[in-house]
Amino acid sequence: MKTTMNSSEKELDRIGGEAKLIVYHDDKQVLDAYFIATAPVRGFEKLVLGKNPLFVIEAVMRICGICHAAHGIASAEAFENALGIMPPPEGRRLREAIGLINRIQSHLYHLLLIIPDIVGRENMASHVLECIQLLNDVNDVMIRIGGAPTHPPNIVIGGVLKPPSEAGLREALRKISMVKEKYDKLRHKLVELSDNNKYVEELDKHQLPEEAGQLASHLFYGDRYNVDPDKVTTMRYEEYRGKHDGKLLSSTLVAMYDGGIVEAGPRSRLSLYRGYSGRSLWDLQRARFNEIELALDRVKELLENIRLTAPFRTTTVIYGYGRGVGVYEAPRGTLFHYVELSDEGRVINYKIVVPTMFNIPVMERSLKGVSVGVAEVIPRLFDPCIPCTTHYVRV
Amino acid sequence: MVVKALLIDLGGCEGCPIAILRSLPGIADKIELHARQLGNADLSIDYDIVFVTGPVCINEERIIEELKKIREKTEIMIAFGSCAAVGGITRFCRGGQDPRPDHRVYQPVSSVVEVDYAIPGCPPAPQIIKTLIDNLIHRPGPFLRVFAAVAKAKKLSGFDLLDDIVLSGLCIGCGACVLSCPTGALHMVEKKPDLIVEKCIRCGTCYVRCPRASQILLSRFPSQVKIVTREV
Repeated sequence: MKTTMNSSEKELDRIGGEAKLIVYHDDKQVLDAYFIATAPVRGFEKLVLGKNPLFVIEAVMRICGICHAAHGIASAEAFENALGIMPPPEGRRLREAIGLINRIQSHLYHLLLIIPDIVGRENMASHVLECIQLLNDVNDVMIRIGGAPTHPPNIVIGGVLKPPSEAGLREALRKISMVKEKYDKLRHKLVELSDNNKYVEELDKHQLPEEAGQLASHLFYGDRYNVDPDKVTTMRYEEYRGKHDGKLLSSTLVAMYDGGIVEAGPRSRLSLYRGYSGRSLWDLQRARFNEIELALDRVKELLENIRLTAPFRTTTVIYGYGRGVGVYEAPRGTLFHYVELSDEGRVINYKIVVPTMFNIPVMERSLKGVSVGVAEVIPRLFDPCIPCTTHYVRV
Repeated sequence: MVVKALLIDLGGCEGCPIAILRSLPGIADKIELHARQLGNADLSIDYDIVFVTGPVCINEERIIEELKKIREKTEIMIAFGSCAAVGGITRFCRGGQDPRPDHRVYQPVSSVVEVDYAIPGCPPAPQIIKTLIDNLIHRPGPFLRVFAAVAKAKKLSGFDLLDDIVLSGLCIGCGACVLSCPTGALHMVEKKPDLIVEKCIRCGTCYVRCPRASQILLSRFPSQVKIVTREV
């Protein structure tokens, strides 16, 4: 860590992507903080212009290797909204299961990154390996119902491309029960260890900023009617925070909902739809622990009730002009995809707002007042996803 | 022998780093992995192998300088995943997007520094890492020569497969390409593969998977195989 006077700058490790944290402090407490993404902007919104929707679904899934299916589903939802179609019930159910397995993958990957904070660097190795094993088991389920462990090709406009075989479904269910058992053990161990951890103790005392609202549209899937997609605004990071030493160039935008800052993610979802009342910083991680369990139960319920003989995809899709929005509850919070199609059904406008864009202002404000030693852990608690955040234009 | 390896991502989607991390339980005794994801990345020490994932943004000088430095610190550099190996989806990038409209040009790693092996896949299966490490430590097989050739080819896609194999009559209709395609862009039509062009993301997996196409790669780009030489 490079320290000058009373500010310090650190390249963050153990988060999804590349970013640095600049902290101003008086040697004890953090006075102000800047979270700056440094990953290059690949520009997926420009990349998909003029393309066929089939390509767009495959492309946007490659924005992120952590929440791939979430982008795929939000994009498919946006196209379906624009073209006026809906997936059949079984397709919708299977898609929800694919999305939830992606949520579990993402939360487990985040757990892997945060384990050293809970158990300490010296004891991390065995827990990290255990967590990877669990992730591998979940990926097996994704192969069976999504078609691939990452960027699942089964997500298509109108539903799901291929249903699993009967044997595949049985195996997926067996794996889910197994994962649940193993996860319960791991969680129990980690929660026990976190009880006597000084980081956790401090994080549990600090509350989320009072001005931060909550944003979530559904507990498991996403619902464009539970939020108002027109109330989302975005701006450049520099417009929001001002330039830092006159040279700051963050590769992210910041998003607001209804003009205010909002926290999106597991804690918000549980708070709005499950009556979860905790608002401390550590509650962000507690909610994530709870969500893995809820998601596993829900996937089991969905897969047990799927009728393999029913249609999984709407086959009559007529491509033409249309505008639509897809809202989906990605692992890190509410994800918006906006699309406009030309008369030929090609993309003429595409915009994406990801949850990390909402969370950056909340994260920076949460940092104020915490001790310097714990500052680095806080961005990790919000689980920022830089690959996602660096690819969007203003709406 | 325990191989000292570094995993570095240049701004990809994180899917490939996860694939490498996922391989760890099977190779924990063979590899000492340093990575930002594990909190132990150290760019000041020397490595036997460096796995580079993600494309290189030519407009970001910082990344190019970092990449050149890393090249000097390692014996073997492996471009892992399609973006790093052959460009993949980033072959479609055109720049012009807020907040960094200047990020316009993306290239595979081999366009900037010398790469020893390039492994396409979106993402490649974690199982490949174990075989790769085994090959690099003690038994270099033909497997390695194909990936050395890909590092020189720099771009591969479903179109190349059609041009070189299907249209030239070399295809035996085995279907390996169809199974390998991560987007389902290839399907069999009258016992020969056909490309759904809108779905091809130029990852190059099909070309490397095809038993005939990989032979073409070997003859077009004959390469020396490099293995880990450090004795422990």
